[in-house]
Amino acid sequence: MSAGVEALRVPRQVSGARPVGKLFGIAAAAVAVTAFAIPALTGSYWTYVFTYFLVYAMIGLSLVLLTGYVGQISLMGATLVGLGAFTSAAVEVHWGWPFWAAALSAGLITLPFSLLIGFPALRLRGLYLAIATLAFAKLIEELVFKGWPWLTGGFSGMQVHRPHMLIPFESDARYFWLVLGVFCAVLAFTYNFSRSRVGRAMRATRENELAAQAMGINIVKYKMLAFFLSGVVAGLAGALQIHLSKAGSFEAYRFYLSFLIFVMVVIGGVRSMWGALLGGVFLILQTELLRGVEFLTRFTDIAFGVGLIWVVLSNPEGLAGYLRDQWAWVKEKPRWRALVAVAFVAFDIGTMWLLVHFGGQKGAG
Amino acid sequence: MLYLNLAIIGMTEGAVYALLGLGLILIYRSTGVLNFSQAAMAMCSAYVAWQITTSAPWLTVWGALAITIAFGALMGAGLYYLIFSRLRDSPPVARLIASVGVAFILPALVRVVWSGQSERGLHLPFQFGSGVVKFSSIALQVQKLGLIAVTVGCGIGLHQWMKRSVTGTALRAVAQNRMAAQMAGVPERRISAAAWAIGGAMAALAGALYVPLAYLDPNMMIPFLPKAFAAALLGGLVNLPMGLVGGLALGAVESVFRGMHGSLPRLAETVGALGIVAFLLIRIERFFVSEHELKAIEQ
Repeated sequence: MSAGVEALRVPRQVSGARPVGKLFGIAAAAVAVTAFAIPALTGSYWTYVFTYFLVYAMIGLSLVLLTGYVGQISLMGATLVGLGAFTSAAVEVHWGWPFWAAALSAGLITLPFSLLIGFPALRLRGLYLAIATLAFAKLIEELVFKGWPWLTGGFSGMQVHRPHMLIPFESDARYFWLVLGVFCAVLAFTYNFSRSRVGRAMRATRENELAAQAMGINIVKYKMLAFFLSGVVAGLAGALQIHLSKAGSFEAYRFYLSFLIFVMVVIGGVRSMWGALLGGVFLILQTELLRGVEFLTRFTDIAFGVGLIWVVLSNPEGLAGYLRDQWAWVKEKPRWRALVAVAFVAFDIGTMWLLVHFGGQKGAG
Repeated sequence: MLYLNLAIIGMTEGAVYALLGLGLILIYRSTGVLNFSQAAMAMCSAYVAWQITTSAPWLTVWGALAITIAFGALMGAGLYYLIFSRLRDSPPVARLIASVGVAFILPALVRVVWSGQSERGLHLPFQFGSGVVKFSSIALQVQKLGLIAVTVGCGIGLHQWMKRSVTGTALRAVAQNRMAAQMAGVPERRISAAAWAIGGAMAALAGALYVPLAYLDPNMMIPFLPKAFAAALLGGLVNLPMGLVGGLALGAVESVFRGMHGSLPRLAETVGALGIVAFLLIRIERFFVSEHELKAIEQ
């Protein structure tokens, strides 16, 4: 009997599942090039923007772990990020903890909250869960963020310094390296995790809870695990964010940001970790490139809205799925289609360059 | 007596929660869309009301209100035909995401159309005059009384209409079983569009009647959205009278909390959120609709 049950468990390795290995060298080289190229080729401002992108992509990854892997919707992303940010700031300012300990506590502080939210969430599905997370976000904002000035510094917020660990990470370039390092670790974890036994069990839960249960998957366990992991990544991203901007008040973590994070990941493609990256790119490019062109900034929210509707109407896998389809289209007849693709990408990059160059973006000067 | 006064004043905001909540319920029950753009629709309509009152003063406030309501209804029906009718067979979460998209687009459109003016805190004249009514020690602006009265009227009227009229019956039929309703000859798309139109009209009413008490801003209705959800959830997102009661009661309770001493006023904002969590956990909707209908909506 037990042998039969054993045979039904999720296999450890399935064909097509590939842990980081062959790609590791290429990825490491790409990261190394990025680490030196970004600060060297662009100014301090764009290094800062790029660091911001990495933080947002990490927040996006936390949502992919939850929404993409087990299909639980959360509209409280910003709240968990805020909890992490304020915890790291508070233990540094009040207790003088070093950065690494503060960042660790930022990740861990989300655990009790995830537990609190996860258990009711197990009873709720889809739409109801979305409203419930909205309500939890409101509760935490009112009771913790506004009601506990020790943590959040009240309306004036918290001020922190960039960390000093063996070497100083004070400059934008150094801090960029630090964030890049943490980001790569989280990305590698997510990449491997989605291919692990647990990751596959989670995706089975997302696709069909009944079928997953019939396979012997403990869906309660995996949903809670997804809530925990997502919270830890969000908290860690929060710690990185507040040290990036060196200050923060709870006004920055209200539900508009939660919606923005949600929008970003849905547009990028909620089912894969590349979606979080593409969503981050979309969000940052939208806001940063158009920042200089006053007239166009009014259209950023329209672009977000149209993007969301585009995703649900015709492209459920978001930009990630769209690009994959385009890639397949190019590979079909590589000769002339590759040219079209290159021309298209060149046009996009050219437009962006023009916007940055002649938009007179603020902050760079 | 003080608390009674506070409760009645609080019902003004409660009326806005209730009006938005009624729209949410109607739209959710008939098309299964949890409409995150309900507050944005109200805000949009308020701007239209302002534009009409300023550029055509001869219409009087009532003419402007009528046109605003018509605008809200058209917007609701338009959104349904343009977006949500295409999502009838998508998962509920996809419909929710689309409505979030609309909630992003509408304020941005308002900023584009009324550019330069949108941030200036524009005012709208009172529809019910600026007088004050007094019963013994309770004082209330006529505008607030009018808003509450209109809301109660709308709630009861809609409920009766749903129960008695042919269209209302068709709406309930579509909610219970779309396929069967279609086979019985119900023009399902048109009926769903009607639900959206009424939802839009409710939002327009909320926006146009509330703005004279506040000022215009593209974000002005955002704080009302979670509370409208709380109101609608008292009726399990399906029951109109309970939605009405929920909205008014929530407004009253919040107002009473704000009038108390110590740290209690801070808790006012959490009442709605606590309500949401509680209603969801006891799965309040099962008290109002059959399991069968619930499944039909959640599909």
